[in-house]
Amino acid sequence: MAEIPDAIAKKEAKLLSILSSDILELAPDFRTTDDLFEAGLDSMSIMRLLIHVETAFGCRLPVSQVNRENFSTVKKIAALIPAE
Amino acid sequence: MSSPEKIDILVVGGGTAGIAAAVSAARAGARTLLVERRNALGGMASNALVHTLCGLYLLRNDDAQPLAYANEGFPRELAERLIQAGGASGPVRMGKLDVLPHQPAALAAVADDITRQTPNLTVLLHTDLTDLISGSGQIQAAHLQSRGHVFEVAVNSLIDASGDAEAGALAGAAFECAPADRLQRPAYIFGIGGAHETALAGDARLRLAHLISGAVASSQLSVEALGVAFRHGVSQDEIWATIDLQSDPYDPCSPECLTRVEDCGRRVSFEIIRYLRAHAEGFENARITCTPAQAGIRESRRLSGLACLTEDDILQGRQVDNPAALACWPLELRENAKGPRFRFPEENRPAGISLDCLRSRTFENLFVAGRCISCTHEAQASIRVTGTCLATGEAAGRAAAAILR
Repeated sequence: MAEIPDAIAKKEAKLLSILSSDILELAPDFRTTDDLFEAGLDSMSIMRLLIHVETAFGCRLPVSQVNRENFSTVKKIAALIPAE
Repeated sequence: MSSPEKIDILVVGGGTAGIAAAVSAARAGARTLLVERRNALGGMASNALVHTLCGLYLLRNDDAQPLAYANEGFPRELAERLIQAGGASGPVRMGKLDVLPHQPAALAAVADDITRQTPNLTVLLHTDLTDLISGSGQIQAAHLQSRGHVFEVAVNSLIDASGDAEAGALAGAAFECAPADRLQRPAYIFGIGGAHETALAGDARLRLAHLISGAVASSQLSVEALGVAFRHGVSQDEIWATIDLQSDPYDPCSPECLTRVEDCGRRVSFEIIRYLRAHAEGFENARITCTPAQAGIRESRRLSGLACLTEDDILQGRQVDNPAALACWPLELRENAKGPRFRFPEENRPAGISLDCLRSRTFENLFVAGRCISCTHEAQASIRVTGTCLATGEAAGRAAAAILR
């Protein structure tokens, strides 16, 4: 079943909040479609992000989904996280 | 102790700033002594296994703009001699920055060559500064020791290139230090050999991040492993792992803290390599090829000078009359695990560093070079890189030699 837009928006907002409070210094107007690597995301910050995602969403993303393309925006990372 | 030997200039600390200072002072005719407590010159760029020379080149807006040295003179000379000796290859562009990857051991060997070939210069390795005698606003003599042998040298000037403003602190000169929670974190760097040449190819670094984060989450690796990043060295078969350590409470001038940092870095390095051998593709035969003689310290004391370089100076690319050196590296912040790591100056302009930032405000004949020059905590996040350390070293060496005349 397709995820409802509200749930997607909620997931993206939660992820953006984790990123800006614990992982990166993001500008207040940073959008879910902006490039995270441009904003400083690197392998070290991805390690911490994965741990936060696991705690916050109760899921561990499989290694097959971890690549530069999938992690380039908040929207794309959120799409990897199963519906709650 | 026998009667003191008299020299013109004592340089304390044989890191890149100290090498540049000592060679430049001696070339200007000053009888110069360079003392270094470890077994090799090069400081962070050899003993701490920092393997990339940063801050050698002016920032560029894009790849089409030609590459230029920020500071001609000794920084360029060292870089070119390293390249000639096969100890560096590049420069290479990393994101918006141009850097020169090098072999730490080769840098120490090139420094040996340069200093050995410099008239008026004596280098003493395995030698530590233990005390300074001062009076009338001048440093007059230094007590040095090596393996239980203590000796005194009378000096005309002293250049503190210790990285920790050690000479300044011993002499009672004014200095500053950021609070523990603001200091840039230390890095523990180790070398890896035996990995497959594709071990870091494509998205492999991200897969390693996934692997390590999972191992930390399941308590198979210590939490400090979350600070690790991998990069190829000058050759493809060489990998450097850099662990940015959180070591609370952090005090880079306390032996207890430094012991904790070294102990933790070594322990986590071996944990990581054991885990990668068992679980990471391409690391089945990997092994640690070297650990550092010392952890990489990014920031500690800053000597208080006649002037103080600020964050605004760097971010606005502010010019000064007759700059002693140019600072061209962005502010690279490593205060905690949270990024972004870089803040770039307006229009990528370099900032001028005044000679007054290299002169103690307490002692007339005390100069400072390298990462502990007179600057704010924020500005230090730019000037601590090797290229700028070489440039402030050269400027301090020349200035100290000039006042002899």
